[in-house]
Amino acid sequence: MTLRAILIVACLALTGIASPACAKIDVDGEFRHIRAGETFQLRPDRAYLLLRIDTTRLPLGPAILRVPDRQEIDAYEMARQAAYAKAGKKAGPLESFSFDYDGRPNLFVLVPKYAFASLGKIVAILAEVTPGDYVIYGTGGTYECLCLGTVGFAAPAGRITDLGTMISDRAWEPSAFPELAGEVDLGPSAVMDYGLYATAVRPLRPCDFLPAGLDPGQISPARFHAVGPFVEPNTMLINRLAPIPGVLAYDNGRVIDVATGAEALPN
Amino acid sequence: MNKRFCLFWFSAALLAGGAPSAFAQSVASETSVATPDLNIPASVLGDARKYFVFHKPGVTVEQATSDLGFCWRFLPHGFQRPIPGFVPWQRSDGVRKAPNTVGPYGLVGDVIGGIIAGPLERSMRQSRMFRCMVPRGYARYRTSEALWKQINIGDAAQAIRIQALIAAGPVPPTPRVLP
Repeated sequence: MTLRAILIVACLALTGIASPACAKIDVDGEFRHIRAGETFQLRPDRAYLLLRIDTTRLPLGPAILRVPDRQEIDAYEMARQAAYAKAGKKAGPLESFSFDYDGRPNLFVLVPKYAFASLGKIVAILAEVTPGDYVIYGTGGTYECLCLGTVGFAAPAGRITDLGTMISDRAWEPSAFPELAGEVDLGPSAVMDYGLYATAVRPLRPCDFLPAGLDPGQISPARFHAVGPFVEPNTMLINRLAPIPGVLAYDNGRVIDVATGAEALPN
Repeated sequence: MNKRFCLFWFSAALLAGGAPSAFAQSVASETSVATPDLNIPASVLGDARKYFVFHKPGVTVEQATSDLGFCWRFLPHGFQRPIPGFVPWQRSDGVRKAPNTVGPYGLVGDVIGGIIAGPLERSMRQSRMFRCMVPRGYARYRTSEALWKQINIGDAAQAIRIQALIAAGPVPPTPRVLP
């Protein structure tokens, strides 16, 4: 195994697994994988996400972000200020200060190995989440953020929001997936010490695999919209989600919300 | 661009080792900056994956400054954010430092880690600029490691200004990096 491979595996291992600092967070109250063998019962006060991941090339799971409300932001800022005051002079400037927050989380990863069902190389992830607005935030947990353009969607209570199929491949090589056109075959600069991965989301198709035990009447296809660039300093690499016809496009690096024709401005 | 993004841009650029790009433009425009000699002998050219300058035919210095400034904000980075976690969406957040403990491979592993940290850090920076600038229509031309360091390390305002002048200037004489 090359040094690069070791580094990539180590980095991916650091994501998708709760760190000791986070062990006390009440994750189940916010996010829960519904695993194979569980009997699924839809709760009217919770939202559900269904995502197929095509693991033919890479078994990478996306990070998803729930857009926090004002109270959550305020609680975080209060905790941050308190931690900063406690840290004293060694903390440096507040703008660059980071700390381990054990409050209500809003960033999760859909892990392929916790699949609800699978069909060949396609694994179906079913997760119970807090209703709200979500952003597909990264690839391989926080190995790579989709900081240069991605999509968001609403996950209403009492429904299973079907996100379609996620596809990932190595960005430095050609790919057989047409959804990744333009985001792969980037050449050796996409694999220096860390490899860059291209990611696409293919919205739900009628022929897509539906896990047994789910009621089609409870499922709604996700209504995606473009999300503009955002800065996430705590990732290894940065990338963007592949264009999605009718939803997400790029124009000289600008993120375009196809439905409205407007630029999705930086966040 | 919203106010919060501007605030983050400001702090991010400071962390990247210099002034924010809006500020960079005004400062750099008042400073005479010389474009370096891009005629690099083939024997001195660095790794083509990593050492390059950007160029875009027909781009203005102002547009190149804007593009470089946009991408520069993605350079500050820290340790990977743990999941589950909290992201103050549309607010600036701190750069996570590596845990101040002995790593899983002990002190020897940490020493090795220290040795490779510089090049790894540099390649993350190069990857970020590559991924951000190329979709904006910029081509890459090979250069030496020494020249790359000269135009990247140090004051952000000056680095952006020099690279904008290169991007909007004559086509560099060194080989183009393809793809």
